[in-house]
Amino acid sequence: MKSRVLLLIVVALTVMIAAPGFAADKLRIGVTLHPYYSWVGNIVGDTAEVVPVVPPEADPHSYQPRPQDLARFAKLDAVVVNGLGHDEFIRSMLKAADDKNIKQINPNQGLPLIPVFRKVYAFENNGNAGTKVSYNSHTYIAITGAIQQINTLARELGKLRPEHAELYRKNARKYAKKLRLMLGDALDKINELDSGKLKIATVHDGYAYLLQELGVEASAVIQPRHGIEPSAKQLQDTINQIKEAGVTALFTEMDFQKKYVKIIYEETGCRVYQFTHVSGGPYNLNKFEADMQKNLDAIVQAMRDAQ
Amino acid sequence: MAAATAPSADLKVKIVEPLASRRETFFVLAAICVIVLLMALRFAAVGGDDKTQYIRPYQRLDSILSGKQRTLYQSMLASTEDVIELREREGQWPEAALLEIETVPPFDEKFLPPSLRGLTWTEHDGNSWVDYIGQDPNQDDQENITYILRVIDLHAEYHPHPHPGLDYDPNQKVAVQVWVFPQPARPYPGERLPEAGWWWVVGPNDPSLSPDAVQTTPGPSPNGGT
Repeated sequence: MKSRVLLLIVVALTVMIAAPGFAADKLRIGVTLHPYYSWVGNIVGDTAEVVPVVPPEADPHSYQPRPQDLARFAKLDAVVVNGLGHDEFIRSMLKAADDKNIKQINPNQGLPLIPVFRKVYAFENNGNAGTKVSYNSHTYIAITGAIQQINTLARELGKLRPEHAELYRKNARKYAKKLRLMLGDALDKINELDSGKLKIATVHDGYAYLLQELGVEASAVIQPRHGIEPSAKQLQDTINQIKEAGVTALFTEMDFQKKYVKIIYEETGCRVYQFTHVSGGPYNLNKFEADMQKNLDAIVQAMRDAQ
Repeated sequence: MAAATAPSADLKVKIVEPLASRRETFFVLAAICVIVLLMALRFAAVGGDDKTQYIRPYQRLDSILSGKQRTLYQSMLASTEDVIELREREGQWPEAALLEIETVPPFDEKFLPPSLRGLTWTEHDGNSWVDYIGQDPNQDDQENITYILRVIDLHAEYHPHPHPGLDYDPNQKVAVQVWVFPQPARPYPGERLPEAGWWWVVGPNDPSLSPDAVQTTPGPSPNGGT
C-alpha cells in the first residue's frame, strides 16, 4: 500500500513538473545588449527571467563566447537580437545551441533605418555614388525608436506566453509613456533655444537616431565604427572639415581616447561633450532611462552653450 | 651532366615528356577548381538567409523620406499601441483630438522637433479600420508630403487590403501601415489608397517585404465565409 502511494506521488510530481505552465517554468529570455535588458525587464516584470548573454563589460563587436556563456545560452527559450550587425557573436552561439530551439526576437523588424555612408560626411554634399551603403545598427540609442521596439518585443513575447500578453502590452505602454516624457522634456528645452547656432560632430555614427528625433543634424562623424582609431590623415581631414563646417560642439564617447579629443579641441576650438553608448556597467532595469537622460542632457547643454 | 648522358647500370633515368607535364598542370588546375567549388558550396550552405525583397508596385522604401520625415514616420508607427488601447477603452477608434489629449505623438506635437510641427490631423473611421491623415496647410512647401496612418482590425469581417499580416491571424489582431502622397495637403482619398496613387512606406527590414507577408485580397473568415 505504502509503495503504491509513493508511486502515485512520484507520478503526480513528474506530471506537474513536465506540464507546461507549471509555476517553475518561467520564460528565460536572453538579451545581447544592455538596452534590451532594460526593455524586456520592464515588459515582463517578474513573469520571466531576463538573462544577459554576455558579461556586462563585453564589447559586442568583438566578443568571443566562452563555454559558460554557451551553457547558459542553451537553456534560453528566446533571445532578443539586434540583427543589424551589432551582436554578431550571437550567430555562433545560436549555431552551437541548435538555434531551432531558441526563438530569435528581432525588435528592429519594420523599424525605419538610417543608412550609413562610409567615409561620407553630411556637409560634403557629394552624393552617394560609389559608396557602400549599410544600415546603422544603433537603433537602441533613441527614444521613439525604443518605443517602437518595446512594442514589438511586447507583441512577440506575448506570443510566447499568451496568458501574459495583455500584461506585457500594458507594461510596454506604461514604460513607453515614461520614455516619451523624457523626450518631451528635452524637446521643450531645445525648443526654447536657437538650434541653428549649434553644429555638431560626433566621434562615431551611433547617435544618428537620437539626433534625428531631436531635429539635430551631425555635420561630421570622426570614427565611423567602434574600435577603429582614426589615422593621422583622417584626423587632419576631420579637423579641416570641422573648421570648414563651423562645428561648435564635438560629442565624444566615454571611452574615446582623450588625445584625439584634445587635438581636435586645440585645433578647432569647438566644445567637447560626452555621449553614452548605453553599454557597459551592470545590467539593470533603469540603465536605458538613466543613460538616455544623460545623452538628452548633454545635447540640451550643448545647445545652451551655443547660444 | 655526365650522369644524365651516360647513366650507370644502377641509376634509372626517367625523362619527363611534355605530355606528362601538361597532364600534371591539368590535374593541379582541376584540384584548385574542386577546392574553389567546395568553398563556394560551403559559403552557400552557411551563407544565411535569402535576402531577396519583394517590394510591391505601391510600396516604397522609407529611403524616399528625408531625415525629418522619417522621424515623423517612426512616430506614427510608435503610436499604434496607444490607438489600440484607446479603442479598447472607448469602444471606437480614437479621434485625433483625443490622441493629442492623451499626449501621443505625432498628434501631440510637443514630442516632435519644431521642423516637424504644423500638420493638421483628422481621422476617418471605417469601423473596422481607421485612417489618420496628416496634411500640411502650408502648401507652398514642396518638401512636405501628406501622410496617412492606417490601423486595421484584422479580425473584422471586412477591412481594406492590401495590408501586412493575415486576416484572422490569432497572434495578430491589428495591422499598421503608413501611406504617403508626395504633395502637401492632399485630400483624403478614401479606402483604396493604391488606386489613388498613394505609396505604402516600408522599412528595409519590414516583414511585409517577404513573399507571403502582404495580404492583397480578403482571406477566409473563421466562420467559413470570405
